[in-house]
Amino acid sequence: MKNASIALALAMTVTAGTASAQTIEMIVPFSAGGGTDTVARVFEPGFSEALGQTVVIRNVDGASGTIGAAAAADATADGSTVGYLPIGPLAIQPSLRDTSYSPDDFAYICQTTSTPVFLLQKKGGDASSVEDWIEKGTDGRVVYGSSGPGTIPHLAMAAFASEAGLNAVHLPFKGTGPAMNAMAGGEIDLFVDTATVLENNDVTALAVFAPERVEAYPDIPTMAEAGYELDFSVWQGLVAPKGVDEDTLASYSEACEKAIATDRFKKLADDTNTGVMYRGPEDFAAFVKKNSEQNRAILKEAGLIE
Amino acid sequence: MTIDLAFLAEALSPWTLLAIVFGTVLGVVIGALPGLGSVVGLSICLPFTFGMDTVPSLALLLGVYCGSVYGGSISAILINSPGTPQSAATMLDGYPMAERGEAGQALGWATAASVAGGLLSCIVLILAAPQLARFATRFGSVEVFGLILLALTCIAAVSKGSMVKGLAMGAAGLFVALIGTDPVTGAARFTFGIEFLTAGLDLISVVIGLFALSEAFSRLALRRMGAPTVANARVILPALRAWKGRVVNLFRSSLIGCLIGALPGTGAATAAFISYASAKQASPRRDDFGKGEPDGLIAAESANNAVTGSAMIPTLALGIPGDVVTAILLSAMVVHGITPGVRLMTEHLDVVNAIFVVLIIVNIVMLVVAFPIVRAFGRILSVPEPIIMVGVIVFSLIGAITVRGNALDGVVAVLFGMIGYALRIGGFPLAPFVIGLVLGPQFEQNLRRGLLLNEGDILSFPTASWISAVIFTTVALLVIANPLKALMTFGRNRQKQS
Amino acid sequence: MTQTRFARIGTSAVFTLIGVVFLVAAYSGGGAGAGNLAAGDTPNALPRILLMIWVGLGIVDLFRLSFTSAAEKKGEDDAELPGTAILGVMVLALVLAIAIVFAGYLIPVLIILPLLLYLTGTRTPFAFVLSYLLMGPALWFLFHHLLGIRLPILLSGGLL
Repeated sequence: MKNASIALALAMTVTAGTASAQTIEMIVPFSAGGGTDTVARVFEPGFSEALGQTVVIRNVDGASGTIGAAAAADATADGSTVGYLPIGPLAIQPSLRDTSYSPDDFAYICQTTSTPVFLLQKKGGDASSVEDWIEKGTDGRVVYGSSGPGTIPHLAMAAFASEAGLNAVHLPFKGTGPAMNAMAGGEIDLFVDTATVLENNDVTALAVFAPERVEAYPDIPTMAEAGYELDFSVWQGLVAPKGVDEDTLASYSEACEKAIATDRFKKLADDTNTGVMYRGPEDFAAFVKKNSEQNRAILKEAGLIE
Repeated sequence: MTIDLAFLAEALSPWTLLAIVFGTVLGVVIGALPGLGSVVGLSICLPFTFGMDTVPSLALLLGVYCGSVYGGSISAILINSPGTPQSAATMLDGYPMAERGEAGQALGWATAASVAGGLLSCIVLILAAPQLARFATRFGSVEVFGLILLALTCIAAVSKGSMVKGLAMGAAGLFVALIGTDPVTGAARFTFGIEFLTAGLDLISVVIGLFALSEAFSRLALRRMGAPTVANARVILPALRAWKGRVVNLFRSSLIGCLIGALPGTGAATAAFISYASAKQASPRRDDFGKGEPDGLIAAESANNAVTGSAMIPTLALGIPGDVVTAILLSAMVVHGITPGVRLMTEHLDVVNAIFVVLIIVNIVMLVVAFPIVRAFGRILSVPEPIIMVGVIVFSLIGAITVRGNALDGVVAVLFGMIGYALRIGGFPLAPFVIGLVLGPQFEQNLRRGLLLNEGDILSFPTASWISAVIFTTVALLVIANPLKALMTFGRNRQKQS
Repeated sequence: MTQTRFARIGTSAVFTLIGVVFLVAAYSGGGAGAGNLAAGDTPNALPRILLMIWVGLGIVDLFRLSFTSAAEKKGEDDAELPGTAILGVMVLALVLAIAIVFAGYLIPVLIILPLLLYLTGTRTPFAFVLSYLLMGPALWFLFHHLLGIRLPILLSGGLL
């Protein structure tokens, strides 16, 4: 067993270059125990096993994940540092603020998850459809919460509000928890988040921000059915600093595909209603580029940036 | 109705008990080390829980959590550096007592109050979790803003020496908390183009610097070799009759802790300051506050430990994690296939019941392990003081660096250590700054949300709901009452003199 | 006594000055970037108000200090004036913290820790070596390897 793993490690060294015999540091740009961290910690063993190398997680928290993303972008491009990054620091924050990195500063390894988001309201409210809220929002005002400026809950609602011409007030909270408390207390009317949030709180979903209805929730209409072509999801993926050589990238990408196919990862995905989604290096890079541009357009449309 | 007692077997299994003892000891030790707090402790343990059963793993984490909140008080009292921000309020009266040579008594009050607060919040959690969770949802941004204002009145109470300096430090603390990314618009404020500052200054690093490092510096400067305050530290529990006239304070402070804990996103440090401010108003010994008054210790410690139980209220009843700590607990549940949420209490009643039992045991274990741990700390503190202070410097650096995984936080800590040292020389009280810093982010976020909701009209806040009416009236009374009282005592003293 | 008084006034002056610097930054736009402005919401209002309180109270404090005689200030804690050794300790601590940013945790600690111990007066060889080993390599090993809390490293992927 031990011999086998040594042999594997040696084989990897030969194929992937000398540097990768070392420990790989995986930067997670949020603190331990958060949503991204939980997935990353389940992803790590499978990834490490498939590569035959030790992978350690380093949590670098701060500024909506941009500090950690910057650390991943600045790291030595020898394959010894990778970043497990979600949509925010990769495809939203660089448009919203001056970050020291841009999406072009990464070499893309693979996408791991993609989870559609839902439009949520408090259970038992008097409105029961997207149309009700559009009516309310054009006559009076609607208040929507988010887990912070420039997060997907914010962006999706901002896009919806500007397309539907709603008079909408945005209340940012520090994370989903306090926002859900505010929804239970009636301070906010609408919130956008994943099925996990839908399942765990006293809320109902009015629509899903996806091109087609979600398999697990066949009764929930899409935003397109209400007349708004809006497609939003939260996703995560593995990146490396730009300049990592092709062989390393390919071997990491392969290991990544194996890691998200493990039972452990699938079980976590099932438990948390996370969609597993694999995209290889080129697809993922193209997707991030497209997604960033789309988000930038929304931010501009909503008057959040110039 | 039959009650299934199977959860008891699981909560009392040897593995669970072992996990509780191990977790509590680890938590107290980590909490007591300056710079390492609840979050670091929990992150250390999280990976181990993946291989454990559900209840023992939750027991381990709860032990670490409750232990670390209590542990912070040990270093707050013995070396005037709060081990965690939660115990910043403990320091206000704990350290003066230690300076008087009553470290044992101070530790005793802190221990007794912590355990009592923790147990009372367990009872509240068990009896009234759903009701309290629902009540907590009625605290909107405006109401929470009122509560933060209430806590800020504390600044006046702890401005030792000069009120002007104290208030200025409070404003400075509030301001420093705003450096970084604006929570509403996402714009960078006062970052001067430095990317590191967009994340803001980390509270824990600043607190470590201002208190732990500046204390180490000033002790090294004075060369107070083997100061009597730290030698032979042990817990001397207060005698029953010493509680006379303090029980009401204990209950009030614990209840404040329970209520604040149930509000998602407020936290133990806020609870401790609000409770301290209200105890200062209510206590017959209010003039001794800040000079080593046990009532102040009771207020701070019972409130911050009461938060440990009640922080579980929104988590268990609504599935809403109130802070990083409960979020970590929830993620441990997720790993074990338990989906937290509104249905947790109905679908996984056994786990919830086990959590109740575990929390009670943790608080009892805390009382037991406090004695040997404080003894061991006393032993460590009998090492020549310069070595201890170098140790404080090293630990502070590790603590600051590991909080967010950013080495620059270590530089921030040392810089604030130097600033703190200079401010001490200048006669500036440090506590108001930390109060401002701790409460700053919530002060701003709730104010801004309140303004967004009410079209920028701050005058409509008191009439937003009956809860806010009560809170803002209290704040107004406090603001008017204190100067009046000061004026009256001033007048009386003059009469006496003439 | 006059030295204490000088230190107090000096600290108050610097404290107020820092507030003034931030206040200037707040109005010159150097601090805040352009964000979205919802109805009447601005990221600048609250910091400006707080800075004005800071500076205002700082000036009041300075006036009080300048016009009250030093004798009245007795009864407060006696100011602790720094010796030269403590300045050395502070500078070393700062150098250590900055070095960690660039050179990782272990190597700077191994170099600066003995200096700190020496400067603070530890001279017995036994105590010196023991505290060096415990607070240096042992603590690093505990965190970095046993507890799995990553401390900064010199070379990414390296063991140090």
